[in-house]
Amino acid sequence: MASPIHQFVVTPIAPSAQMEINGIDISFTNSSFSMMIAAFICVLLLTLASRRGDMIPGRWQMFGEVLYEFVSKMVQENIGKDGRQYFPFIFTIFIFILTGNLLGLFPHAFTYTSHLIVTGVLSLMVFFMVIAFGLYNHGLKFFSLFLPPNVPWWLVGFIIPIEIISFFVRPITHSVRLCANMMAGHLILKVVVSFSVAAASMGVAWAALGIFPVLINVGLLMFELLVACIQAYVFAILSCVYLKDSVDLHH
Amino acid sequence: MEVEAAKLIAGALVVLPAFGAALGLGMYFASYNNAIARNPETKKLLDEKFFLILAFIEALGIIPIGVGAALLFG
Repeated sequence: MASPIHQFVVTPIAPSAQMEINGIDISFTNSSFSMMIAAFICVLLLTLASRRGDMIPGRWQMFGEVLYEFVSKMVQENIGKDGRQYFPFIFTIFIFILTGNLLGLFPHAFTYTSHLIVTGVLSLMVFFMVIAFGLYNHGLKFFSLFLPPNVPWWLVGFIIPIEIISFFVRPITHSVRLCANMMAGHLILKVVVSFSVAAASMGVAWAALGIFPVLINVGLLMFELLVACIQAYVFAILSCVYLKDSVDLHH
Repeated sequence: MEVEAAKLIAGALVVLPAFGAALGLGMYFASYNNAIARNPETKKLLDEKFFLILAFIEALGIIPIGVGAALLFG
């Protein structure tokens, strides 16, 4: 019974998939494999949904429309009128993370969002987009972001460092929140299951007791489903909130 | 203190923040229900940010568990 962390080890899916270019290991790992599956599922579902755009939406089209309107309403509320240009980006991030999280609930599946490297890259992407669009839209006025309006003059010395720190902490908390939630959730599942395995290994009479951890796991999996959806939603909505700074600074 | 002992102690101490998250969730839901009980129209306003705040409080409880697990099993 491997240690609970074993499920997060990134390994090439097959010995033949081991590739290396001058020392850099670019083998095709289970993480990239599950990312491809997630991307394939997203594309499949959404093309199914948008295939026949008839007025009376079929089941698949309703599914696509619900997702579209959910994210569109979120972008509309959080970034306002000229947030439309960010909608495709937020929609892609939301769907990619949601599919990743949900795929992770299946046994033997690999949740790529449980690795800090994946969530870190996503949140850094959002972070640099905020800076790039901020500078593009507002030029140097973008740095007035660090000085909120009508702050009493004697507080300015304190506010600016705090604002700068909170600006640079964003990608860290943004990525660690998603990664830790996914990893800890799956970890708890595995630890609880190892109780029933331990009970089973203690003899047949004790094995009957092994059913209770499995029942606990049913509840935990439902909670994991909730956490998976909420964390994808929170990642998307926080990306909207951060992008709002680059659209209109403080007003 | 050997590394092993320190690891196990760290693994045990990691569950304490969940106590804070539990308190936070309890207070949050209590205030949510009180607000709606006092004025049912606020339900629409509160529901906009409901899941966002829920996730923040939940994250504070789970991030330490993630870090502790990385310490303990890493």
